[in-house]
Amino acid sequence: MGETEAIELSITEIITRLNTEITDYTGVKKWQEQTGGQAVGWLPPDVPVEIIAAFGLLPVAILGSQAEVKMASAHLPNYVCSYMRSSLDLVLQDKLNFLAGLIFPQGCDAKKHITDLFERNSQWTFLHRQLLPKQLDRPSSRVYFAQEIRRLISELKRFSGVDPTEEDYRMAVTGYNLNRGLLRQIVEIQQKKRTLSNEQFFAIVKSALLLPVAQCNVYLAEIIDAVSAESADETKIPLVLSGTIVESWELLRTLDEFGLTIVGDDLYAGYRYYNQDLLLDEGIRDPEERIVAAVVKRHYGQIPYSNYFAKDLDKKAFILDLAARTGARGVVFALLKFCDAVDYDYPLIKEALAEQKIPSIKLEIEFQSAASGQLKTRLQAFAEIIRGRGNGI
Amino acid sequence: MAFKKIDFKTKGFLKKTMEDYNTQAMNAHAQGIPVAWVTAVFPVELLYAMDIFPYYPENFGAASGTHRRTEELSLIAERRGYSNQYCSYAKAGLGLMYGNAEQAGKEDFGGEMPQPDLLLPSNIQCTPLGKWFEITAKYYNKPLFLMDSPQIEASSWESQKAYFLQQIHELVAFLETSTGRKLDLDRLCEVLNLSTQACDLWNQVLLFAKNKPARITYWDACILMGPIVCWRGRPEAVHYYTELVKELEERAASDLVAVEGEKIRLYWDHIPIWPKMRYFAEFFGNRQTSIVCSLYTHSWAYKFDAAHPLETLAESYMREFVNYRFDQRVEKKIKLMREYEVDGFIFNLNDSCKPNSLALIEKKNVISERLGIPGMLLEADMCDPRFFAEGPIQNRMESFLEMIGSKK
Ligand code: SF4
Ligand code: SF4
Repeated sequence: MGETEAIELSITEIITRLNTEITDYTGVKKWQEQTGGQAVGWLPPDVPVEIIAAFGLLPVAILGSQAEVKMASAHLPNYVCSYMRSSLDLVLQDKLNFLAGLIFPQGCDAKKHITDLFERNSQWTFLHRQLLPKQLDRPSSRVYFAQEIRRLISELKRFSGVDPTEEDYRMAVTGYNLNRGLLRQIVEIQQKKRTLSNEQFFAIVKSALLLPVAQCNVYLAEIIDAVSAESADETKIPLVLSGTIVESWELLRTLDEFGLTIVGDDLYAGYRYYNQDLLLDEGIRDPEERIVAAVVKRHYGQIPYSNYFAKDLDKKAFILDLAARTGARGVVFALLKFCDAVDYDYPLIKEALAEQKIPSIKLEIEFQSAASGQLKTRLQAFAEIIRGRGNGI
Repeated sequence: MAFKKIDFKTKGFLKKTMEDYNTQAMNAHAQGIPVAWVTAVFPVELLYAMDIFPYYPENFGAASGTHRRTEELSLIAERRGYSNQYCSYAKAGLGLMYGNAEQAGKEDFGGEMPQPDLLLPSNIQCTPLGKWFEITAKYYNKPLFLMDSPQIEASSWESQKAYFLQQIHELVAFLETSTGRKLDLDRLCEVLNLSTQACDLWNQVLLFAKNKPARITYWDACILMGPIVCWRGRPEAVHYYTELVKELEERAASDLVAVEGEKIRLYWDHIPIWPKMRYFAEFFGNRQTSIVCSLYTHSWAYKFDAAHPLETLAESYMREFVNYRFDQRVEKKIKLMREYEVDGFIFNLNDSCKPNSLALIEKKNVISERLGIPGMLLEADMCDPRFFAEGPIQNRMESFLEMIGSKK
């Protein structure tokens, strides 16, 4: 008993340190002071961070903010998702000035059009729009995506004056592969043991999106040591979470409160980021073409994303399979208000889950919303439904 | 002086032209002609050249708005878990699809849209169209082909053109395989020429709003544009617009104007509020105000180069205004505003069309500053009455016009 408590404390301790590093980009700013290096912002999905890192630049994800939106409302209509709204607010409040530039993937309509506003309201000389083909099935898609990755490399060269060597690419890939591998280990342990709270788990994922990779890897290894020593918590109910990004810590805490633990997700600021390594094909001699080919290969082996169209990449099938693989007993759709493309997929998935008798719940979330009484009541009822079934009642 | 709308003499011809379109759409299957659902900005000339009937579900969406059916239809989709915050066209379309299923056998509910054999969305305009078509494709178990158009980016332009062109080739192959029909390039050239002619005539029509006072307004144009959307590439569009241009020339000769005593000229962005068309036309007309231009109605200005049929399709459709980013869109708006000599502009933060209205607040500020004219923001859904509050909107429009009037 005493031993378990000691380990508990140590997980908590590690996460506390980690949280200090990721709050207000503290870790990034420290890195900048120590190394004099430049950080480049990026947003999920599908920006190949390894390439940024190969240029000696630190990739830092912009993940919005839960703080009250102060200035963005004067620039945006009210129907923009809170991720984009709060991120633009960070720009307007000069809170991202520590970044040397930004890579903005055109992953959805909101991102596509808000990029202009980021550009207009910032001082960055480097703002790269990463264009993403939205159909994935046909040969033209890969050709164009590869061209876009080449364009990213050439723009980074122009901006940084650096031409990465073969070794630079290799080192960056190794660091991030290790990172993604560690994250996968953690989620696998979580699937078996459910030791970490949702809040802890997503703080860990967030650290991978925000911290220098080497530093993050040390934390992740420590966490794995700590959780490996733990025994499984069978009282917690395993769940799948579907959405794009979850910055609503109130939601995560409320899930924790009712013993509901996320063991699988399809978030772009989640499993989509770390589900695969980048595999360099040694058969390709040119180092640049080698990394382009690796990024293309990973991209076309990705999990579904509602803004992409692909015949055989069915999100419904993916969620059903994920639930089966992870032993999840329910699915939480945590959908950002006004994130329409993702929302369109919800009814058919819900229907399929119902057919399989898998309970699901849809929550409309916003970065700024605190856990309302209604949310608590709904989640409590959801937990009871699952528990009732689980006990065969 | 009270505004009195003067009907077009060619009104009957327009009605017939549009009825013919709908009849052909609904009868296509019976005649063995495949129906492809397409989005407004889609290289539809390929379809006409291959005798595949292109059907525009957005028109149905707009018509549901005009006939005040959006809410009723949307509620059907909402009961299935779809959200009331989507684009109203999609809400109406999904509502009709599910409503038809629920009411099978009850005759008077639906049948307003032909069932698709193929679904061909493009995302030049937006993603919601693709999502709506995707759900429909699954429902009817029919193939979907997304024509993907990344936003125009100077440093990516060559590969973008190559990408779009390669997709045109893929589209042709897809159409040939799915329908067993072959594309004949000579036939395509004929269609392209018809399309160019129709676009040219349509732009002649729009130019009649340049006159001071204007001979037609934006409210007219929103109705008159039906054939350029649906019949582009077919003789029907050319015939109708030829007659319309003649009529407008007559109007000009007899000095007939759209708004008697016109004092104020405005630009509108972009889709009208369909259920309130008459209200808006009368509101402005009664205040001697003409809405004279909008990028929405000026979208159809293709000049195809039939010597390079596939290349010209690729380039022309990619260059549609909705595929440009902030600065270029602002330039296009400014150009129109200058050409049509407007005194101000109205931008609607249309809940439905999130992508195309997301940056309008900043655009308003930029344009006002550049041109030294005032702009006004509206907040109204283009179809769904649940997101339209007439009282406050009317008050704001009143004060806006007063402000412009007092400056003149
Ligand atoms: S949450 Fe949805 S709307 Fe917002 S940026 Fe992500 S995909 Fe786009
Ligand atoms: S109104 Fe806007 S969102 Fe709706 S279909 Fe048209 S372009 Fe797309």
